[in-house]
Amino acid sequence: MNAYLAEHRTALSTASACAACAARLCTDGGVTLFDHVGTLVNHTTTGSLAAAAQDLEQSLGEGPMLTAHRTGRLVLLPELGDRISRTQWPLFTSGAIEAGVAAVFAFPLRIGVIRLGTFGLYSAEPRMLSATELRDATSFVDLLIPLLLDGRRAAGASDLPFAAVLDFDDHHHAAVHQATGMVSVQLDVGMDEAFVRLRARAFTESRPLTDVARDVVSRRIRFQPEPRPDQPSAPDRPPGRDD
Amino acid sequence: MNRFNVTTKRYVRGVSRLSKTGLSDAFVELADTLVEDFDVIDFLHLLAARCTELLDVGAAGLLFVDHNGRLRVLAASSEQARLLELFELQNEQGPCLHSFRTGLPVSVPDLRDGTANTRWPQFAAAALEAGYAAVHALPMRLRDQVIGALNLFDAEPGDLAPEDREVGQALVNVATIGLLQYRTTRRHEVLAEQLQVALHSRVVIEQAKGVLAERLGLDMDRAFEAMRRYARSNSTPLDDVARGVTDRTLDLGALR
Repeated sequence: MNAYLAEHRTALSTASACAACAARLCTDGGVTLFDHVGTLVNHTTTGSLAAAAQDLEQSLGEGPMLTAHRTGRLVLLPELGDRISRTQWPLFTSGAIEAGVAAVFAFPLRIGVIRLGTFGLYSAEPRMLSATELRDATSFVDLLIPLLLDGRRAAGASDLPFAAVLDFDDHHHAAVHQATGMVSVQLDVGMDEAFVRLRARAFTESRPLTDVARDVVSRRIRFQPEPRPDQPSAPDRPPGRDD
Repeated sequence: MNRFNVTTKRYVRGVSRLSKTGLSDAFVELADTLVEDFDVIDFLHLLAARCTELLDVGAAGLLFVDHNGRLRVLAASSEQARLLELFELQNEQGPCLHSFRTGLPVSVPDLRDGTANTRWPQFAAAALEAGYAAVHALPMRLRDQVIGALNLFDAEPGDLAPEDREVGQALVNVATIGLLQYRTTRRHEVLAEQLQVALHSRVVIEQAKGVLAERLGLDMDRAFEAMRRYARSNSTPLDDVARGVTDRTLDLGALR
């Protein structure tokens, strides 16, 4: 870890810890954080596979990372596309395979009973983590947790606690929440409904959720309120399960 | 019975008791508690009970120093008031306090002789009155940290046999590691809860920026500034302002 940080001249942060681990294990990596009501707050990724997979999970509301978070247990998928992955996460599996992901390993970030989020590794080749690699990954998880907790003392705007830890600098993920706020006004609905609608749009258009969010924030797209039942449906009608 | 006989008797009893089974059972039992659903009180009571059996003493107590620097009994082999008072007394004086302060084992094989009376008069008198003739203390310590001590009382005078002392210290070391781990986990849990609350408020702040951007035609930075300004001039936490924006309880006109 220290060698990696020195080589890349970067300070220890969620992003760099993630990158260090991924580099060591020759995978992509990602850290996802949830708040206490279960909203996905932020994710930090290293590599395009991780970005694609995490976006998919958030868009679809299903996937190994979400499962690891909900159950508090490891999810190891050495071969994405096998019977288990297709049964448990059908939509995620096909989408992730299309994006080039062949194996996923999800580690929950837990402190006692509190579940903060997950740490995920993504590989372009099907593979199992060896005992050593599993141990390395677990060490990184152990390192991540105090790192996240330490974020309270981070310097910077005191109005925003844990600012340094949340890696919102790239604005990608902040955009999802900002877009949610904007859509809630555009459609005159609550935040949960607004988020569902954003997600639905990403799904219908087969685009990453963060892309749709950015379009909303930059005002390239707007959401229109639903027409009355006696009128033809609008294009941003959320797809049904059987679409 | 002279002191030599007493000591030998205890020693012989001690050696025969330290069968491999008894001791390793105790360790397995203790190690079992060092898992996630760690019940620290249960663990400590178990330890105190095992001490009286394995070390053949009348009573055992585990004392810890709290954040005020006071020694507190967290678990004892018996709830007898007299015993507990004896522990408590040692906040002012006594072998347990001494052990805690020095990080070294302290032994008083015979409370009736002059030394205990001189060093810790109130304690010695109270202990004798409670029916105890010997007292020993073993520090709970991990490298530089001394977090408390194990206090042992016996009705019979005599030293702890060397084996007993070793076993006692080993049990105490297991307890120390478990407790430090528990304390760290607890502290982490508290911080983690705070982190989660902070994460949540971060979401609300970002959502509120979106609401303001849409309603007031601001960009995200200006939206954030508007909330901060309002928060400061109304002495309201930023979190509350953001929440007021997202749940529509705040008049947005006030934020222009």
